Amino acid sequence: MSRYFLWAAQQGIILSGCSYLPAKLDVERVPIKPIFYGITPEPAVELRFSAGKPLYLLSAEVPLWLAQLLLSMAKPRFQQAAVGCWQRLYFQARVSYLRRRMQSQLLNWEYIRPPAPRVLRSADMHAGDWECCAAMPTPELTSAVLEALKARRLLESELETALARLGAVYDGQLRVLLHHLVLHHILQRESAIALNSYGRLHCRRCGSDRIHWAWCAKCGSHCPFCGDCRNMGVARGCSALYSLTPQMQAHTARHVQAVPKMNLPFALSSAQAAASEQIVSAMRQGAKEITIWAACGAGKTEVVYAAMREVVGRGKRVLLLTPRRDVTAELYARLQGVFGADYVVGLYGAAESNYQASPIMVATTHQAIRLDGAFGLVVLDECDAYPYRTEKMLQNAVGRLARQGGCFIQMTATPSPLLRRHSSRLVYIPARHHGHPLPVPNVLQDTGLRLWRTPEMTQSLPPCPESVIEALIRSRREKAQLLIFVPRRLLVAPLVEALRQVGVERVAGVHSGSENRDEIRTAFKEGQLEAVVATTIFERGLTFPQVNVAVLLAETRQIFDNAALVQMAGRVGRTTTRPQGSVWFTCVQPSQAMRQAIEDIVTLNEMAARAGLLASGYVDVAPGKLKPGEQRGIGDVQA
Amino acid sequence: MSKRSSVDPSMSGSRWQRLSGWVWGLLRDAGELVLPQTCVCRLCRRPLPAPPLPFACYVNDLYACLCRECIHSLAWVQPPLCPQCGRPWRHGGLCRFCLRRRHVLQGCSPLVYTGAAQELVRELKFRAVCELGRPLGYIIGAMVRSAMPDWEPQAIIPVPLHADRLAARGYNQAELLSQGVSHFLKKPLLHQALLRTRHTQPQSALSVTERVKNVHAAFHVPHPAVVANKRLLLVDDVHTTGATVHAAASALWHAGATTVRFATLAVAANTADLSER
Repeated sequence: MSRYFLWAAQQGIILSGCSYLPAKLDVERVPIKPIFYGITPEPAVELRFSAGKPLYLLSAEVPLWLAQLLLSMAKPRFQQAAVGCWQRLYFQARVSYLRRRMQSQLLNWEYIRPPAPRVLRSADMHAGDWECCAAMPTPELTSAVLEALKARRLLESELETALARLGAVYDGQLRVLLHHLVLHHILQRESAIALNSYGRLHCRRCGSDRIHWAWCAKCGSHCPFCGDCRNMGVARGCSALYSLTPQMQAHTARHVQAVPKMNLPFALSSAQAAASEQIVSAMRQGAKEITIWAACGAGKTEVVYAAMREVVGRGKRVLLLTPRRDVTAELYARLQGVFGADYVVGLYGAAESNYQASPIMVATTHQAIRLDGAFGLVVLDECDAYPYRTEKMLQNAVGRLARQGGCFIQMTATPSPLLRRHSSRLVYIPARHHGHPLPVPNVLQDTGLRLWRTPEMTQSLPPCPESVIEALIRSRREKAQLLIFVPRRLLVAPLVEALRQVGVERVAGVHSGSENRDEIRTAFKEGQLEAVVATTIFERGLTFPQVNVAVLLAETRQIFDNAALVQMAGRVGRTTTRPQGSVWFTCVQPSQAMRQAIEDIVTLNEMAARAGLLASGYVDVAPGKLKPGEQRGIGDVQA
Repeated sequence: MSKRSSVDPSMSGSRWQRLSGWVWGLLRDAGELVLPQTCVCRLCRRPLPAPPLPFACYVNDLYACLCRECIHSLAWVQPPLCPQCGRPWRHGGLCRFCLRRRHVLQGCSPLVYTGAAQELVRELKFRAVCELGRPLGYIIGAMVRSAMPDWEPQAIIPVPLHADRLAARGYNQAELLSQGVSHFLKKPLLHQALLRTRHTQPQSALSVTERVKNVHAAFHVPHPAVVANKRLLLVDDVHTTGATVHAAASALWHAGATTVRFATLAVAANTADLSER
């Protein structure tokens, strides 16, 4: 029989009408429903079959992404008794287009004939020569694969490392073993690069259509690969994505655990409680999308706890995503405290090594590319933060999970106009839990900052900016720490050096490349450091109890936009122990974004005052009392 | 869930949806002709400015993948260097690796394997950023020309990967680099002249003596006539102890090559040797 398969494979022919059961694969016990097809590169192995049903085989030499296309074209052709004329024409046109595409890549590519159906009789086949069924997956391997792919979708190479981490032992080719699981409807496999509905190649993993072509030693031909998600392992035209079938995914998602107990360290404020109730009732009514617009430090994460608890109680998984690694780490620790360590797992950077599918998963948005399956609730915190705001890849990945899942909640302190307009449900939390208004930033103009725009171009270290010294003196007087934001990574080290020269010893610098990022964060939180110079990585989601904020060169375009400035100002006065503080925007010349940010903060304060959410001392904060965008020079700051 | 099971995007949507998608694709292509998508720097991911020179050249190719700041932040090798292997070495004379060897192989590298250069090699090696290969090869070529002004290779040979490793990774990063070197020096590239016949462990996890044992007799020249009586330049990504290039060079010597020298993108050096500058 194999020679028929090989012959057909070489001819690029689809076979149909055979009823063949190999001896070693017990298909009687497994309910195999649909008919399917075969793909590269082992011709005899890559087959799907079922008793009495037609069998389709595609050429062994066809790349995976092309096989997927051929299948999609062939399937309706064989399912319908009569084949429409336009369909055949379309199909032939598509194949000849692809052939030309291949030739343009200087390929040594044979002519792909449009596959014509041939009947192969079952009498031609003998059960004995099914050699490739020799290697079967062991139950241990199967359970390891199930464990590794719970709520995930992985490339073959990623699955291999995941299995190695789980200590799975197997002999033989992994691809062949996995194919058996595909045949049993445990796994489903799709090509990583495929054509989308309008004939463009795109990445199935991240949704990008920026596809590069390069010589691939894996398949020995020019092969498309995705240029956007290659940081997370390369998705090639010849590589497959494995995931559990929807039925298996639903089966593994069901966990028999009691409804988790919530032990909140404090009671929700009235604004939070109202928002929390609103969300739960909206979810019960079947809302698909909710947006939470909360002031910085209003406690928006606490608001979704009730909704999360309800979803977990229903036996479904909850996914909490943020674009930043530091924020993810902090949220993970916080959720562990609230729900208990058994219920929560964190997936970010180094923490990914111990993957397990828990009821509550906290992950960075980059990890969303590897996640899959229907989550009962997907929460996206800080949905306007870099890199999520700018990277299409992350938006696609989160969008895919949100579409598959039950309810999608986005939370932010600075929603974009688009989000405000398009969200079906908007939930406001305008005031912080302690009832103090948001600190309004002061603008410090300092011409000395000109030297700090490009310190790497000057030979000697520029002197410490006077505005920063001003902020330091004020902070020392208030017995507060100072968090200084800089627009670029290159400014961190020189500014730390300059601060040391001024006489600030307990100072550290941190940016996305720093290795001791987590240590500095905890040291600053515990008050061991007097000042920290940071890039925008510290702008969101973090709470430091005793902190004032200074933004260096706040007028820098593209980096310090309105949202970023509001977020940085929102680091101040987040706790009950120190509900107020100072924020300084230092600049050479104030920008529109700075004025807009100050205006936004004042607006939220007014909203809170109007709603009566501020503490009694602040009821007087009436509209018009504060002048937005008020400018002062150095020395005008009143002590 | 039902949406998910119909995973085939080529079959999804009505005919009109597909048609409109196709039209939008065309419009977007037209838009990209007018306002092309900006490339980003491979190290800092910020959008790149326009190329510095108004004509196609090596410099423009380099500035098409890295920004000015990142190029400046790379650690370039600076004297004092080991006269043989080109490693930063503050004591003068041969470095501690060259002193121990019987046959000393001459070579050079433009970068020190720290910080940004390390990140660059990782991008090239593990993240399939193939477009970095050529421009970085130009840098190596320029370094070869300045460090060995009186010597010119007759052919460029990349240090090969084992077939299994090659199949797993999909490309050989040394070959990508050597394409750039061969283009810059205008010398032919012999990519099948040297083969790795034995599967070896990654060198990075091993000690100095283990590294030598690991790659010993791992290379083979299938057709000695191709390399016989030739001056050859071996190209690799990182030079640490030199075990790999020495094993490769000895295979070439046995096949009859007259001179073999090496050039790598980055060289590992002690931080003490760097702080002298």
